[in-house]
Amino acid sequence: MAKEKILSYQDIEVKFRVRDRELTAIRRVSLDIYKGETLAIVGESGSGKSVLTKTMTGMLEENGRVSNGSIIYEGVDIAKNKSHLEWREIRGNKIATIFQDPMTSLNPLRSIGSQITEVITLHRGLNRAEAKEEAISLLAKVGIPEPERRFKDYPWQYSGGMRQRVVIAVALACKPDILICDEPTTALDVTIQAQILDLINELKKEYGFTVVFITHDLGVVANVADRVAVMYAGQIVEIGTADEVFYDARHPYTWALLSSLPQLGVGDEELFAIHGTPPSLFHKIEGDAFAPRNPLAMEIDFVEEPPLFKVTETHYAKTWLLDERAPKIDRPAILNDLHNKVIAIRGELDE
Amino acid sequence: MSKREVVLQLNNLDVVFVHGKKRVKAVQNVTLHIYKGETFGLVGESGSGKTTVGRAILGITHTDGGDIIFKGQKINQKLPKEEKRALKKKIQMIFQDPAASLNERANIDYIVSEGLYNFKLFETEEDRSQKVVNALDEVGLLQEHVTRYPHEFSGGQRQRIGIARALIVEPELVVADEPISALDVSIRAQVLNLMKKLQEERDLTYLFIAHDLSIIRYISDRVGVMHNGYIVEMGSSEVIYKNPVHPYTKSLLTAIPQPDPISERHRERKHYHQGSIDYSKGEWVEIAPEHYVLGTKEEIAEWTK
Amino acid sequence: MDKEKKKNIDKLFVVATFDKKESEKLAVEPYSYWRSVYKAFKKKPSAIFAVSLLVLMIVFTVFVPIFSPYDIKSVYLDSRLQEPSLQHLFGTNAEGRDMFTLIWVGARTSMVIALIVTLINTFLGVIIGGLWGYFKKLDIIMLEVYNFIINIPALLQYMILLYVLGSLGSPPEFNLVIAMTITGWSGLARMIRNQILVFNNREYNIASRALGSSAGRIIVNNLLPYILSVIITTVSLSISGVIRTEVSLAYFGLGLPVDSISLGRILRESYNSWLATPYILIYPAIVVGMITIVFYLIGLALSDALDPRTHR
Repeated sequence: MAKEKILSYQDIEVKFRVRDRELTAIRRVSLDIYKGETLAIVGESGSGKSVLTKTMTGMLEENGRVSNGSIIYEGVDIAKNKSHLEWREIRGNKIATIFQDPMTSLNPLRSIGSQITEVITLHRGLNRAEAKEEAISLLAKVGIPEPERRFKDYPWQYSGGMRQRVVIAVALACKPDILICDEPTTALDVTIQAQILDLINELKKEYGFTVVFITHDLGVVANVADRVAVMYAGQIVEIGTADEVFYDARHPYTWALLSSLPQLGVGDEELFAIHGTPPSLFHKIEGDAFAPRNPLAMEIDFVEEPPLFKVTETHYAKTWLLDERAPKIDRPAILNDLHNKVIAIRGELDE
Repeated sequence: MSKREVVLQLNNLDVVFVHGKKRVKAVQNVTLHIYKGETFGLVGESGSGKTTVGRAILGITHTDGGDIIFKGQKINQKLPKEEKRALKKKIQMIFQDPAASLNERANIDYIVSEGLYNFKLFETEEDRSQKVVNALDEVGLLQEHVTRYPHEFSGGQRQRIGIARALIVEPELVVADEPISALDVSIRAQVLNLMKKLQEERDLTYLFIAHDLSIIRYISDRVGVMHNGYIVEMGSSEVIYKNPVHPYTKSLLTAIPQPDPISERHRERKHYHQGSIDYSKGEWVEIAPEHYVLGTKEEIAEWTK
Repeated sequence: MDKEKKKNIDKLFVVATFDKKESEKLAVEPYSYWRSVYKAFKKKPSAIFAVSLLVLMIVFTVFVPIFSPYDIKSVYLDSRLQEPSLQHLFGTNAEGRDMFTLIWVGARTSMVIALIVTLINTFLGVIIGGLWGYFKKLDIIMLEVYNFIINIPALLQYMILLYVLGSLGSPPEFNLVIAMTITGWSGLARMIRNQILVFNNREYNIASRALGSSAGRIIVNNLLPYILSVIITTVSLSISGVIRTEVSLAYFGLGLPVDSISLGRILRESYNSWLATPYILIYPAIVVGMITIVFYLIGLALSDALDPRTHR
């Protein structure tokens, strides 16, 4: 696995103006994204995962701004980009995004073929005939049957899964460096989801782009991710390889997320549940943001924010539990032997 | 072994929607039964007809053929007003979208009391007020919430209000239509636990409709799998997940990604093409006690080899 | 100092107590929809202006007729058609009567009629529209009825009805009200029907039906609060509309009889002499205009205030 950094967030802070108050959606995040990897960002709604990736393409809403930190891409701090033109170079060209709802991601008034060729002619300077050829081959690559015929089809003729394939084709038209997938399969049926995930993985092998995958579904994370970043209340609370985060999680929030998986539920017993709701990001948060909902919280969690502690070269967690002064608290028993527990569920299915 | 009481029986149920010239067969020839006190999981993807089944049972959607039999009485037919009334009280629904299923302009007191008003289930104003407070307490909400409005609550809390509202009239059968799909992952467990707790306390029977197979596996005693309006397989949770027979069930199960990186890396998927299977030709066959499959004799022989 | 701080911090590494119920408390202050509507309405300068003006006008229509020293029944030949002065703020008309008094007496009549007609039309519109939108079977019949009504020009309708009613011998005010309410409810009813079709299939209404709620309960508690915005805008426009209709009918010599005093009649009279003495037309016209604007502004402001998205 290449360890070359392709994009780097340094101490990023993002704020939004809502009516007459200010909301801090991202509270000082530092993150390195490596070339060719698939990084999954997990978190519940309000954790900031979508907002974080929107800063990469300059797609924050009108009332949002990067109030601190830098985003280093190709040697330049793109957080300083102000103009449309600067972002046009990057957006759709070097960094492309696939969104959750394929119904609204495509222009209903234009044929699917033309939506692909538009991107190609805009960013790659090919002429119409060449662009059309490219588009047709892309449609074939994403699994649209009879692409020459389908070139003139309109989005409304297609189902959710097919539309999402077209969206992927549009995103790949410019051979981007980074593909951001913002919950691309959440609205799709399970069987279609499986196909789309497989497609993304195959295309990644062929084209070699980097994937940043946002989701709340841990099953999907396990399927696609090399590394996982867990976000809560605008911060990354844990980050590591997929194996490290699933089998050796260290942050209580990650524990809580994993513990509440229905796959770990035993018939007659209660599922592990996290009480309460995420904190309001309008107010300054003292200490560890997860503390009020954490039965294992210590006094210090309410007073001072924990730093990122190192577990291994690749694994970090933002919790006072990793401080040497903290009492020895093991991860919940339910998470032990996760692999075998999950295998046991499947029975004789995988022949 | 004592014979278990069947609370709900669907026989050859058909529901057809007509939009101008188009006829959509949302539910086709569905037969299933639900025992008292159990949770029956009805699972399927979009277009499977599972939501329509739920609504037909509540009487919200019409039926075009077949029977819905509740405690021995056919309910999808014209009934005298009083009987229909009494029935409504016994079968209730929990809805999917916590944002859309509560009236934004009414406060929690009214929302939870609606059933009490309709079925005249209280004696005095104090009685009603107390019932509301009790109902909220049972779902983990506070008395002070009665004067508030839905938008002031989180998704999980709103869903619990919806549960309080449905259960305050003391139904026997509760149809839960994707009750946790719209909730954040960390909140789902809360609501599921609550539903289970209430089921035990009140001896409720649940028809739990969902598309998330992991949830269904955890919460259901028996499961029915629907596809394109047909029910293709039905059996205990154990049997369906460990020993599925119908190809669609198998492909559905293998398609779910599991939260286990090691096994996901070595995954083989079984892709399913309905192409060759004509559901309308299949029979509903009990291939083992309480394990049913939809198929022709040849197909079933092939699948159970 | 640092060592002290460290020691104190070290003490904090113990598990804290955890309160489940605490986490259920709502962070937001209690919010009352109706109170917020009131606050949002008060904030608008146009609303304050309009309401103040309305209050002023009502004061005039109530007190001017009572306290005016001028007699508006008799004819005063020597004070005919006088220009506005300190004695006669709006001048005098062709019969020597004080225009100021006349106008506010007329305004009172016009506004009372407008209010009554609007009240009846709103009441009928809401009920008929509510039932129309809620019951599919009614829809087919009502659509035909509506299409029939809407294709007859309003003024023509009023004229025919007034003619027919006139022969019945009932008081002319009564006839006017009847004429304007026989079909006057149809516009509001249609709008309400449309709104109900939009809201009826929302999940919270399906939930209410599942809970056994009657059509009445659903229409009143679940649908009307959302339709209020439409109703209020219609009401405000209706009041001004009725006044304008009365003015138009008066032009044709219909509506109220010659000896009654309304803004329509005052304007009608002024057509004879306004070229020479334009104030006879201008002042009543301004008052009609003011009434229209005032209700329109109030309706607009209320409509905005009712939209929860504009709250705080």
